[in-house]
Amino acid sequence: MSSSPHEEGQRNGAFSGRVTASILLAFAALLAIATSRIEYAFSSDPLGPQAFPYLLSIALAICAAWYFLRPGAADPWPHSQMLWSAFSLIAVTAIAVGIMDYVGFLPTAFIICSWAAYLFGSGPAGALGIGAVQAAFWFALFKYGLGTYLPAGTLFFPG
Amino acid sequence: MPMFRGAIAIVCSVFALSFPAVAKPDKTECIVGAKPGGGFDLTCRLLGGALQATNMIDRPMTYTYMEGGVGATAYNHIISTRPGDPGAIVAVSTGSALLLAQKKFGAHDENAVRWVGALGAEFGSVIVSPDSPYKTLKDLIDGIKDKPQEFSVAGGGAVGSQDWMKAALIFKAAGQDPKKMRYIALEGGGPVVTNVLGGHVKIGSSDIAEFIPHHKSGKVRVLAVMSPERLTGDAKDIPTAKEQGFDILWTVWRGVYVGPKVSDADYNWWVETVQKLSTTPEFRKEQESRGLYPFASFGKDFDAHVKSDVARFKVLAQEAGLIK
Amino acid sequence: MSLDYLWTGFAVALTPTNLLYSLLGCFLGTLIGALPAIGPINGIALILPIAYTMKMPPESCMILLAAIYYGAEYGGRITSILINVPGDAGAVMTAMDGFPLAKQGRGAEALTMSALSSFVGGILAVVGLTFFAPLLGLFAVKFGPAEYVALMVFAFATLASMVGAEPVKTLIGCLIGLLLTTIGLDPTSGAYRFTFDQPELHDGIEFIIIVIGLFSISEILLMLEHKFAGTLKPIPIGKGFPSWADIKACWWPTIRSSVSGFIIGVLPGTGASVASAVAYTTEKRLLDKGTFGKGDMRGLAAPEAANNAAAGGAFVPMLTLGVPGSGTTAVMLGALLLYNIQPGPQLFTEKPELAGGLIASMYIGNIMLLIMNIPMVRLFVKMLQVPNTWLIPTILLLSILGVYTAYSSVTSVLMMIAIGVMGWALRKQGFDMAPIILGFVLGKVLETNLRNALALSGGEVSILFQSTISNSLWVMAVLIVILPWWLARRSRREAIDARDHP
Repeated sequence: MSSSPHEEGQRNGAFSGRVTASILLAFAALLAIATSRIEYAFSSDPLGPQAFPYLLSIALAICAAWYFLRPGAADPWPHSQMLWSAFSLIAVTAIAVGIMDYVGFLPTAFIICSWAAYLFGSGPAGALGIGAVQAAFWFALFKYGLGTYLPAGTLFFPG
Repeated sequence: MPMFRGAIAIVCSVFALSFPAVAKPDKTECIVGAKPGGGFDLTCRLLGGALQATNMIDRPMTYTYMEGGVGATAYNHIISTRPGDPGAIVAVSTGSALLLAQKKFGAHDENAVRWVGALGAEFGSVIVSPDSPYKTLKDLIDGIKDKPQEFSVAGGGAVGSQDWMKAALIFKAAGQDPKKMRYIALEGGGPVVTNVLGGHVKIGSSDIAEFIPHHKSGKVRVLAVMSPERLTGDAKDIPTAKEQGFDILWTVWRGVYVGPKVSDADYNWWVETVQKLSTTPEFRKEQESRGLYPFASFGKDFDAHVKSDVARFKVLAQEAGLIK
Repeated sequence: MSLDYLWTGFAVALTPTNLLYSLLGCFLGTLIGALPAIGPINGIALILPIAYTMKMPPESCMILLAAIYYGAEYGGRITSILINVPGDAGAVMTAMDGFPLAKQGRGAEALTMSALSSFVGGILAVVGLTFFAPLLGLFAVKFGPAEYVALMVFAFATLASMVGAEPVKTLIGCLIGLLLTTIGLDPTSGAYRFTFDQPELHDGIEFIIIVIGLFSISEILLMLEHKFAGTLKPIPIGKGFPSWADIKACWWPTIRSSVSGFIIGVLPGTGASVASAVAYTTEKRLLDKGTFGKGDMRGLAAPEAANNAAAGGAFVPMLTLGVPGSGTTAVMLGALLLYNIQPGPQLFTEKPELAGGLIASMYIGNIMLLIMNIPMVRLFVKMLQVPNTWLIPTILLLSILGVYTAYSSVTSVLMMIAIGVMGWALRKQGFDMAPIILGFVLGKVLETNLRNALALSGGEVSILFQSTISNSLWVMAVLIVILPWWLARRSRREAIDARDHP
């Protein structure tokens, strides 16, 4: 009826391993399709641009099948709260980066740093403070210290 | 009312004189469409260095690296993100035009930006090893006619790149199909030299600036430079392909452009500044130290030059079987 | 060859101003190497125009830039060891055993040990540069496409050591790495592969994007998980100096890796990342009894010695042939040309103050770096005491900045984040990141050179076995697979013999 945590972990690993293997298998198939669509006029070598990717997709398919049959051990997948916070970190970072050309580097850095600080245990006020200090410091260092281009944001500084 | 019109014309021209249609951007930035150290970097540094030396800009120019596809990333960036930025100028070269012609430069064509001007040019060139039996371009082309399969070529770029094109022109002059050329694609001109030195290939194809140091030390034999006339300086003893009886030209111009929505005033400032700059001794010195030769083409002229090059490359690429 | 140029060089390098430039370069280099975002090539590209406009004499400029270059190879190890985020591309393999050591509370020891092996690698490379530069220049020229193929096969053969308890995961990792190299322009046909009309992908995915994604982003996600599980413990610092036994154990791996790293560095087609990868996998293949990857000092010393030696080796083709041995030396070569100086063998006779000054400064700089780095270990480990609420946002932001400064493109940053998420998922499934990195580092060189070789021969495979260099490499590849297996069998038999016949 009840199973030991160890067995649980193994069964968990087997399941997520099979999921990964299936994804890899699908990926190998997609790769083969994408390879068949590579356009080129001619190649100066007899193998051509498609030989390597085809070879790799076949090898990946074989390995994925093997992995599906023998999934081995894996870390248990995290519970929902953890998964949610990891997802939020990725999503917040990706969205903030996605709007960087529009809003500029400073707001982007502020959002990312504040959210990361908050997730790693800082209080809301502290997190905002960390975000502000980090954004200002790295902006000053890269923009004025190293002279690199950082977007000012078309929202506030329409070109 | 011709008098009235005349008066308007006078008023307008007075206005135009007192408010010339040029505007100087308060900060300037040069976008390098590649890693540090390449031709685009050289173009930007030449421009920034000379502008600074002649006090034509107040604050030093900044450099932004935007690697990808011989400037394609930078081209897309300026068109979609900063089309109206008056201070942002982007380095460009014949290599970019060649990709534009082959539709390998992203979604936009050659009409999508405002071409400012050229900062200089270099020229294609071919080398063989010093102990090679081929002493002139004619020897080489005759040799290729005889046994095309024995002439392997190394170039500093992919099939379809400038170095490949130069070699393809030579093979075409020998009546051979460039597609059958035994060509190896390397990263830049340095490996081209080492592969010729090591005897791995018979012919090396790149730019004359890459070969000059090795020409001076006698480690390679430069058979021809693909310029319209003889070059000066260290390259003065190298015959052109033309004077050897072959109509093979490959000019690598290096220039700059700005975004499509940059105002006429800002665009004119850049064109005038680059034109004025190119006549200063400071610029000539910087140009020479970077292995570039003068290439005067600005504003409208440059715009026409780029577009005619793209059209010419389309034909070349078709003939070579690169595009259908 | 007469060494007169070297004495001239020491006279140049030992002037107070040039000593100061060395020191400044070493310091800046360490810093640039330690920041996960910026590598030596960006650092040099930033400093060069300043040096040139300051009208610095060419030899001082070279001394400064070179110090930044090899200083960065020292600096890259710091974040690799302490937080599992490689500071630059050459320091990826340093994290393999460096970070487990730090987790065991031996971070300070690991930093000192790696400073020592960096020093040995750096100094041996300069010695090699001093005495064998012209000879090695000729050797580098002998490497054509076929020879690079054999070298890569040898490197893949050392990879046999990475096959752990679950070989299928190692294989899949390696395949993913190889796949990532196929993205972008295919040189031998001019086709764009898997670029999906994104110009950012035209030149392929830069190594640093993969490193930052696979290491920093996935590390942050793992740490977040530990934070929620309550298992995120502060890492103890421990004592500063490794034991004599450790130093002795690391001696031969360090020497071997320095030599192989230097030779790989000399070759224009391969650099510090290939050098450290080959050094690590070779030592693992030769010495591993199940301790590599779990905090073995030898697995730390080998790649560190190799990447520093490779940085020194990259100067050989630059000085003797006038051809860059790496991206960073390409920028330095551009600097020489700015001063109207033609690099090449004549440098040693015509400009002894430059060639000699540069080489002499590398002896001095490496000593400076060692002296600077050992007391600074105490300072570096303070990084471990920075609270996560400050450290994590910094790593995250620097990762983004690192990609953005190279590409100035949001798409590239998003790609890096996506690679990071993939890395995290794979790590959760028990995949190692090392095979992905190795597949990526070696894959491009292998495919391009194989196809170039076949283009040269018109499809004849025999071209791969025509030179002494390739054939020796093929033999070495076979040996590196067979030898450890044979040695293990013999020692087992000896053990049985010893038991049976006491």
